[in-house]
Amino acid sequence: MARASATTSARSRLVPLAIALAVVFTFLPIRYSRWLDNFGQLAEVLIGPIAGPLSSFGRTISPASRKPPEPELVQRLQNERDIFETLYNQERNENERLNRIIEQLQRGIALNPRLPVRQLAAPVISTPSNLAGVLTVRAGSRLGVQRNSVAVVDGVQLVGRVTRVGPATCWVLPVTDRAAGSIESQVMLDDAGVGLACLLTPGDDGTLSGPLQDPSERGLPPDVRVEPGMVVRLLDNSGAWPASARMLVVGEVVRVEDDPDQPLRQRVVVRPPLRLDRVSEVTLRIPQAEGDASETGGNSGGNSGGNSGGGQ
Amino acid sequence: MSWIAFAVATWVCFGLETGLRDALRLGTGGVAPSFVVPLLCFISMHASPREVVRAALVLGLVADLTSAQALVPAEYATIVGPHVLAYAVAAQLVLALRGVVISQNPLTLGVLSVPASLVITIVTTALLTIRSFYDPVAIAPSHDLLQGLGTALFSGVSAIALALVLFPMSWAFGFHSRPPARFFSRR
Repeated sequence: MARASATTSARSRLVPLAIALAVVFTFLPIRYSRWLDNFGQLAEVLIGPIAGPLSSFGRTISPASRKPPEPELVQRLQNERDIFETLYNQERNENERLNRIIEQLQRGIALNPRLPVRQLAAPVISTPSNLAGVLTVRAGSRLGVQRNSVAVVDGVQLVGRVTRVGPATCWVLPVTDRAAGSIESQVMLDDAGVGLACLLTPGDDGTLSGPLQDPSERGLPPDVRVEPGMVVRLLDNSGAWPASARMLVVGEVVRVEDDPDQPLRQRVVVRPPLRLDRVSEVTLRIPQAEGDASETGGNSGGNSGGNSGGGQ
Repeated sequence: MSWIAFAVATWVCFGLETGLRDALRLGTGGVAPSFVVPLLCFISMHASPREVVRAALVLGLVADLTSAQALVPAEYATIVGPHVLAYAVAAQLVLALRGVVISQNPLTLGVLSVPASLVITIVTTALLTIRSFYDPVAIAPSHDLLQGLGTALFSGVSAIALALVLFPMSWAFGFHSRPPARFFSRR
C-alpha cells in the first residue's frame, strides 16, 4: 500500500521535473548543450526508416529538375561535356593558383601540398523538420564525410556544403539557402575561362544575385556584356570553400540589371538549373586528407575514385 | 491511453512531417503543414489531462530533437526545451477548449490545430528570441511568426486529412472518452 503510494507520488513529480528541466535546457548556452546534437542524430536515425521512403515519394511527385527530361544519351553526353569543361576550368584555375604559389614561394611562404578528393554518391533522405532547404544525406562520418565537404549533382552542379556530420547522416546546406551566405563566383564569358567576378547572395526565390565586376578591372574592353544563359562558376579565392570546389557550376545568368546601390555597376541574377533543395541524390566531394576543407592555400581536385560517380 | 499506439502514431507523424515537408512546401518559403500538431490536438481532445501533458512533453522533446536551430555563422545546434514548453502550452489550450467543441467532428481537429500551431510558433519564437540575446541563434522573429501563421493555416488542412485516419483508429489509443460516434460509427 505504502509502496503504491510512493510510486504514485514519484509519478506525480515527474511532470513538474520534466518541465523544470525543459526550462533549464531552453536557456542553457549552446557551449554547454552541444552534446545534445548526438541525441538529435539518434532521433534522425530512428525516424529515417519512415521519413526516407516518404521523402523519396515526395521528391518523385515534386522533382528537382525545371527542364523536361532529355534522351538518356544526350543527357550523358551533356554531363560528360560539363565535367570536362569543369576539369578544364579547374586546371586553368589551378595553373593561375600555381603561378601565385610560385610568386608566394619566392617570397618564402610555405604552402600545403596538393590533395585529391574522394567522391561518394549518397541519397537525400529528408530535411530537418523546421529547416526549409537543408538536406539530410545518408552518409556520415563512418563513410569519411567531413564538415565542409562539397555536395554536387550531375558531376559539376554545386549543391552546397556539409554543415553538420553525424555517424550515419550529414546535413548539406544548399548555396541557395539564405543561411549559406555570399559566395564568390565568376560569370564565364567564353570557353577560354575568361570571366567577371561577382559576389552572389542567396535570395528568397531560389536565385542568387550580386554586383558584377567591372570589365575594366579585369583588363577587358568596356563593351563586354554579360548575357542571360551564361554559366556562373564558383571562384572563391577567399578560402571559404575547399579548393576542389572551385569552378563547379553555380548556375546560369537569368537577368542582368542595374545595381540600385551602385548606379555605375551592374547586378547579376543567377539561378541553378534545378531546385537544389529537392534533389534526391548528391555526390559528396570529400577531401582525402585534412587541410583541404579549411584550405590554406591549396588543394585541387583530382577525382580519385572511391565510390565515385553519382550522377556522372 | 495506450502508449504503444501513441509511440507508433508519433513515429508515423514525425516521418510524415520530415519526409513530406519538402513536397508539400508552398513556394520556396518555409510554409509547410505539420502532422505532429494535429496528433497533439487529437490526443489533447480525448485523453485524460495528465496523459495529455505527458504526451505533449514527449512530442515536444522529439520535435526538438528532429529540428535544429540555425546559428550564426552557418551552423546548427539541437536545442532541447522550446518545443517541449510550447507543446505543453498548446496542449493546455486544447484542454481548455475541448469542452466547448464538438469532439466527434473531424473538422474540429482542423480548427483546433490552427490556434495550437500558432501558440507553438509564438512560444518557440519568444523563447529563441530571448536566447538570441546571449547565444548566436539566427532568428528573425517577424519572418518566423509570419511563416508560423502560414504553417498554422496549412496544418489545419493537414489535420482534417489526418482526422480521417486518426478518428477511425481511436479505438487503438484506448481513450476513456469515445470520440467518433457521429461521423465514424463503431460497429
